[in-house]
Amino acid sequence: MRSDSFLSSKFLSILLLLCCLLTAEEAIHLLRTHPNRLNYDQAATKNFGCVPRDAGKRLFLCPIPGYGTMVFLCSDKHCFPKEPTTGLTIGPAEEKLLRDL
Amino acid sequence: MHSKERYSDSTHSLPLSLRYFVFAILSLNIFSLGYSFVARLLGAGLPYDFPYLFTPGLFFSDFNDLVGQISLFGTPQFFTQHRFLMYPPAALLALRLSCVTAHPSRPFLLLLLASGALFAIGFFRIMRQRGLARSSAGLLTASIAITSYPYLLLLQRGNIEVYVWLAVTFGLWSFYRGNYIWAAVCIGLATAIKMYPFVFIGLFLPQRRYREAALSVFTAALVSLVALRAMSSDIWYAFHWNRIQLEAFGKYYAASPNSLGYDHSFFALVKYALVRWHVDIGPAVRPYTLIMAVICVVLYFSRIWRISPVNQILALSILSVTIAPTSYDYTLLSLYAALAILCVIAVETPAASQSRLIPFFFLFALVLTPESYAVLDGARLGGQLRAICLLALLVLALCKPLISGLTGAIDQGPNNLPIGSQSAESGLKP
Repeated sequence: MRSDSFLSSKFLSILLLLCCLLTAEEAIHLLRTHPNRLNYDQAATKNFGCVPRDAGKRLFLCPIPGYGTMVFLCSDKHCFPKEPTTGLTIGPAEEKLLRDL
Repeated sequence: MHSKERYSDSTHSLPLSLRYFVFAILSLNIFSLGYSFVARLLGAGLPYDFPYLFTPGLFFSDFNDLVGQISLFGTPQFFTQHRFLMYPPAALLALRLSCVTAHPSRPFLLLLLASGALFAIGFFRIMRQRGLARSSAGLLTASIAITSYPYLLLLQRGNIEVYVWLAVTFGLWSFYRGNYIWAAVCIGLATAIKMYPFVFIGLFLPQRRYREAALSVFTAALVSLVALRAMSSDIWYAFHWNRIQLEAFGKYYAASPNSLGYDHSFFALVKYALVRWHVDIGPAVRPYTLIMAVICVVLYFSRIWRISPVNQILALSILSVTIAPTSYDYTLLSLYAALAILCVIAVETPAASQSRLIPFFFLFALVLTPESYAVLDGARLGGQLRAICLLALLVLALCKPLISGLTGAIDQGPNNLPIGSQSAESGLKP
């Protein structure tokens, strides 16, 4: 028996069906919770339930409906999703973004 | 594509390499979705339960952010807005043309959906014409469509990358079929809209098709000039204003660590290393750009020039989406033309040589599926994983010769030994 004999059309079709089901589940959860409905660009000024994470009120922890929380980096005008790689430290490039955009 | 071309009389099932490809994209997608699903059930929070349909911000945010500003296109107020419009003139003109109706997001969404359908139907027809059975061609097309993470991201963000995708796809397919004039025009259009597709002009030079290369440059220049004129009657002023906008992209986005998980450029690997130490990336952008330019020129003349045209298409497609200092994941759509050509080659390759194609398809599968599982210390690393896979794919494209027997396809040089030919099977290299 060849090692690739399991890759029959029937088996691949079942995988495709499973893929469709998981995608549909994800889409239904997304439509129910509407995480994309909130404009996080204004997370600092609108009441989305965000909590400041630093004394200067530039980092906000915001609830994302259906998915948990996410940290945003905010200036007076705009908010950006905080890059998690740098933790809660605001790096030089992020300072520049906050200042100029 | 020749519309009068008929489907092959004999139909057959998926060849081995394509079966592995379908298995890889479906299982990676299932793993990715399953990972998010389980993380959500366990309450692990973001980014572990990260759904690939969600990024923070409104649906269609890239498009909607620009609609207000672009409505002033062609008026003096257009130049006095507070926010930057970091696109080349032709992209701004394309965006303006997309906003002629009262509710511009609807026709634009229709354009995105139609583009996806066009690619899927076109790909299905090509596979049928190459002799695949209807069910096999349908399975392959549906699998590629449902697992396409770059396309879903494009839909979610409403990005104008769709124009580049269309122009590059038609351009590369025209080149592959030997319609060089159309290829030159399409590549010129794509270059005007996004600049980095200029690397595809390199397809014409090894074949001494200098007129087509010149036509591409001329098309890009002409379209840019028309766009600048549409922006303002003072073309010189519009040019300088646009230069400032593009410099702002380099200043704020190329040097920004934001959205690192969506950035698959080679520079994203450098950024990831620097950002962890809170180093300012800004000063590294210019040296990176210069070093990358030198590497690309050396690579082009020393290696890409000598490989088969199909390998050139693949290598230049990868370079077009990786050499920019920032390249977000929807730009990966430009790889689908190369993938379609690779699928055609797989159908034509004899059974004995199918295994040589599997590494190409496996890397494509890794690059084009969501990778929700690529998370380390709470940070997404999908972009970096994709950059590594694209580098490996580039090495394969430079080292493993591919060839096509498609009627009307591009000439294969005498030095180019095909996968599936006797020479390739005996291990000879060009």
